[in-house]
Amino acid sequence: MPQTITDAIAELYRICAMTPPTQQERVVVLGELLGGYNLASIELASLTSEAASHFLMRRGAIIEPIRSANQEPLAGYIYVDSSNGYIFVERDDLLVRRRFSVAHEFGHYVLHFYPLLRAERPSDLYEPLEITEGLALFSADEDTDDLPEGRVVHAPHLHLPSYDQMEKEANQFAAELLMPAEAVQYLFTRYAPDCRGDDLIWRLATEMLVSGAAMRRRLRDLHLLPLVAAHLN
Amino acid sequence: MGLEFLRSNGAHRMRDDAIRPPLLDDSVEGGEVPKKEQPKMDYEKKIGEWVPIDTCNVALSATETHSPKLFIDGKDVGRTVAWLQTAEGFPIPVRLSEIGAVLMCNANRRLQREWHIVEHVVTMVVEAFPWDEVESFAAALQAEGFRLLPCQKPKEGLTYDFQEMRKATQNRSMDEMIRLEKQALVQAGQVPVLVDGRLDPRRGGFDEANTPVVGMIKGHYRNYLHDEGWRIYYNLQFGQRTPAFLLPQEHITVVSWYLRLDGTTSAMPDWGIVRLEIPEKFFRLQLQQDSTYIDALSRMVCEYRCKDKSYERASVSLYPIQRAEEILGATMTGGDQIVSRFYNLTQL
Repeated sequence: MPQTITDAIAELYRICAMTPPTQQERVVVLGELLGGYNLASIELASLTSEAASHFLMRRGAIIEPIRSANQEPLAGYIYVDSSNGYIFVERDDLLVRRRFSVAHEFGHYVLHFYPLLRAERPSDLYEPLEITEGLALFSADEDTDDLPEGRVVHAPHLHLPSYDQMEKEANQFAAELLMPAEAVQYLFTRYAPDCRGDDLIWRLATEMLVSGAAMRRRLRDLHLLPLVAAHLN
Repeated sequence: MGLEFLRSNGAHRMRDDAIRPPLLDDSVEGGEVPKKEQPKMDYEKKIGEWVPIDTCNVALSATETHSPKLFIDGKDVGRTVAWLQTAEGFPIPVRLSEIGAVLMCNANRRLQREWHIVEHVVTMVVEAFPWDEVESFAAALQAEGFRLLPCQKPKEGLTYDFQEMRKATQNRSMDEMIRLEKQALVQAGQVPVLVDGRLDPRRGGFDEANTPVVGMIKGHYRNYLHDEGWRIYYNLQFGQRTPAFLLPQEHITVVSWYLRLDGTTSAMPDWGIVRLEIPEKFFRLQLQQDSTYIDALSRMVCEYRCKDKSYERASVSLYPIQRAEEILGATMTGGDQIVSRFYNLTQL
């Protein structure tokens, strides 16, 4: 069992038999990593948990509607049961946000749901195992620094960390997966002498196909943001 | 998916679109419309007192410390090489370009390249496609030395108007070129520098309170002058300038004026006139709004004017900028070669 998010990501690459991004190839191919876990990714316009539930029923993936489904607009949504896993994402969201939403839901799967599924014993299945998480829409402002919040719904007998902890971990996972520390450090060292402030953030963001806001948060986590600010002066 | 993204989405090759007119009105370079304020025309001379100001005989010593020693130019050489359609049928142009910027130094009357950068970029509106396909395409391009520049949809959303989509794509690529020019500005540090274009889009590349930076604008997309100003503008003689006016732009305020670089009378009346701008903060804090600086700077710009009449834009260009363009052009791979490689890689 991986001890940290960094370990979990390393394990993820091992399971998928893929190599982590390099200095030359920095865009993380998240789609292929999902494939390694047999997770399907679906883009729906006007995403809600109800829309996701209808989609799964039409596909025959579930035979009853998801119990917690409602009409709250969402950026991302994951449905997991003992045999299937589906990540939904709002189709009309910006591409960079769609990637982050998928990575966030993937984080829940890898860190919180997959270990449960592996640990589940047949005797535990006194009721069907079903976990969902819906990620609220991002702010309309592309550069907003606030992260949207999600909400996990699961049966009471399943032992999961607190909602707050799971959300924090899923966001951290998404950030570390899409923007590996080593790659960010390399890009920072390479571009910081020539690019200032927002231009540096923008440059790094386009190199890794993420939003400026996500890159800004990542630089802050890596204690590089004060250095970016210093370049402004 | 990877590099097959274009082909599997039904992309078609496109032949050279260079004959199309430039469509820059929405880009940061062309979008000269100040969002908040109008120009303050009585900054140097009161309205009613405007007359052409002759700069041919002013002493250059007034600019000695702050006269440009460095020159920056950028280049976006590219074209729409392919187009594809979204599931809804919206046309999506794919622009392939080499973008670059160069910093030239005048060292003892000898121009030399100080720093340069050239990149290969593929620009397209990506929002209408599945994220995993675009991601895979971007990663595969990166492995081949190209950078995918995701372009935002036009303001009103995706449109069936191909030219509108092409404009958005071209502007995105041009904006990225300006970012490279900003990198060149960072290299310039505190050394006085002249950049080919407006200062506002290049903000962040210089310190507006302390850097002696000059922007030179060749194309005039917007009318700033009042009637009296226009009458003076059309009658400017070589080396004459209009009085300076204050131009609040989206992010910074500049002091600006028009200067005639070329006195040829047979050309259009507005041909041969450039607009110069300097940061208002710098002019106020470092030069105490001394207009002899504007005169001397104007004269110096005239001294640097391009005298090579075989150069298409000689009338509105400076020799260092022309050289910068040539040197940058020589550093680039060249259109056909890069397009062939792209077609080969994407199997279009």
